[in-house]
Amino acid sequence: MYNYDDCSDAALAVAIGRWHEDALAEAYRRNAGAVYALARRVLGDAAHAEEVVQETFLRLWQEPEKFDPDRGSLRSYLLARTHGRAIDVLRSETSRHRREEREAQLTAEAGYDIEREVWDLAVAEHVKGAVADLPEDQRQAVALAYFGGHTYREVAQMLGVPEGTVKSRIRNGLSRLRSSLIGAGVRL
Amino acid sequence: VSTVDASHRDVEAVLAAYALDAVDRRDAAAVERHVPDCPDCRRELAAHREAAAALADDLTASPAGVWERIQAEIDRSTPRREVQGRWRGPRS
Repeated sequence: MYNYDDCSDAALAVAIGRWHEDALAEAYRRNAGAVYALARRVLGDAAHAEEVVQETFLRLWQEPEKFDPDRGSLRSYLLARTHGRAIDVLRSETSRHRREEREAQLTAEAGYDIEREVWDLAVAEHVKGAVADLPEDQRQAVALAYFGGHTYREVAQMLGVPEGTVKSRIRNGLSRLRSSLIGAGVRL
Repeated sequence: VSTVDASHRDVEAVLAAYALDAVDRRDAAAVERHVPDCPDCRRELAAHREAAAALADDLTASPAGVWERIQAEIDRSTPRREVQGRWRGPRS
């Protein structure tokens, strides 16, 4: 059995392409925690989140070539896949009811507190500092879109601001977040 | 953003929202049509994706049982192949 502990993302993907289950296991070991946390945060329930985690890694097993090491880390690739899939599930007809319930609950409570709680629960310690540096309106727009699973149009409606404003807040928020993280020495 | 004549500027404005899966299908289609031919947008999108991934860089452990289900599915769906040195046939 080959030891994949120190294996690069690119080498892992190649090994997975050759059907080395141990390489997939290593990719899982490194990333499943974050993948699950994200799916759980977006979907709000464990069972759906587990399904998304399973799909994400099975997809990596079937199509490892879809991961391009030149375009970023395996982790960010898997998280992007996971988020997209979780959003699909969230927006699908079957979960519409749950989504409406969740939104009703969200509106029933004060938006800002909920949003802060979302950040507190979802974000790792080293990211919290960078998030704290964001202006409140940018932080809110990013949270509603990313963790809330809302489109920028929905966010604009929820907040009663123009769509263009929300687009800018999200864009400026992510750009600023990235700069702060890099400034703090986080490897992106 | 029109699906037909989405300008660079229109696409650029929604790239970050796209990186968060916070666009509708029409916007997504416009982005996907434009980005392959625009190095600037490709770069910016990659940067936004990395920032988004950092947001999810959580330490929560995966639930028990998911890896076992993945293994079972692998065994079921890909019966003939080489896994950990066990030859099970070529990959399709």
